[in-house]
Amino acid sequence: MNNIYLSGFGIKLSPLTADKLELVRSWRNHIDVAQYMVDQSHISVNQQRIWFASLEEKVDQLHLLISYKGENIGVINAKTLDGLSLNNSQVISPGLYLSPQSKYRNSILAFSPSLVFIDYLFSLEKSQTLLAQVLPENTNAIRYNQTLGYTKQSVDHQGIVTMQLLLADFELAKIKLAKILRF
Amino acid sequence: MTATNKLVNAFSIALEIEESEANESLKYNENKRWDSTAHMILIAQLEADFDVMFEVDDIIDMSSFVKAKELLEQHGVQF
Repeated sequence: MNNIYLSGFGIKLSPLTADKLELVRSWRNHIDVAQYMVDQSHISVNQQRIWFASLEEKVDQLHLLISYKGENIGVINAKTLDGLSLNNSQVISPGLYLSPQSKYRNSILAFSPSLVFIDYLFSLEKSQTLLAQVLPENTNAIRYNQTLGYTKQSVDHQGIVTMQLLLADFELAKIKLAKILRF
Repeated sequence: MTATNKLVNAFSIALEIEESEANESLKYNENKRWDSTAHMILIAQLEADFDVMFEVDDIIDMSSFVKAKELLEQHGVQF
């Protein structure tokens, strides 16, 4: 179990705990969330438990629960693409999904967890670049990432868009967002 | 430009919709164009055009054309 607790821009990020697994699984399996995942397969209770147990030993990824005013509203995560630990990798891939029922999904508050988490990821010793993979039809996510400073890098044969974020671009985007998310 | 015209214009710019679509039936969860980026652009546009500064809770709760209008009225804008 990781012991990472982060906060800022009105939200809190905390370790995912066993008692929240079913809640998170219900979000992840919901059509409004799953349709934009590269892996859209249904996740069973057992698969979720096995996955959660496996996190204990994994240092190449991090999964945090997002809460706002005491309400759990989503999950944010990161994984290295080279199998190295988060502390030793130069390239990290973050991801985020919010509860399908959350009224904050298409609100400016949806930027808060990313602002806090990306700050943390860039503070890790070796990290230089963040990469996001987005399905081409997920135009909201592409716009969301661009607002955070990501730029489109490539499109693979399946149409999946790879977007890159560098610290300098993120810092500029953060200034703009912080002018409105003035907690 | 009247306050209503300014409000319509701000929604039209932020959500990239026709001005005719920016009316009192426009709501956050009923318009595909209303995403988190559009919400950010909308707030910036309204604060600049009306020279106001909203409370952050009001920003997060701004979920419709009507709500935006009510908030602006609370800031002294007359429609």
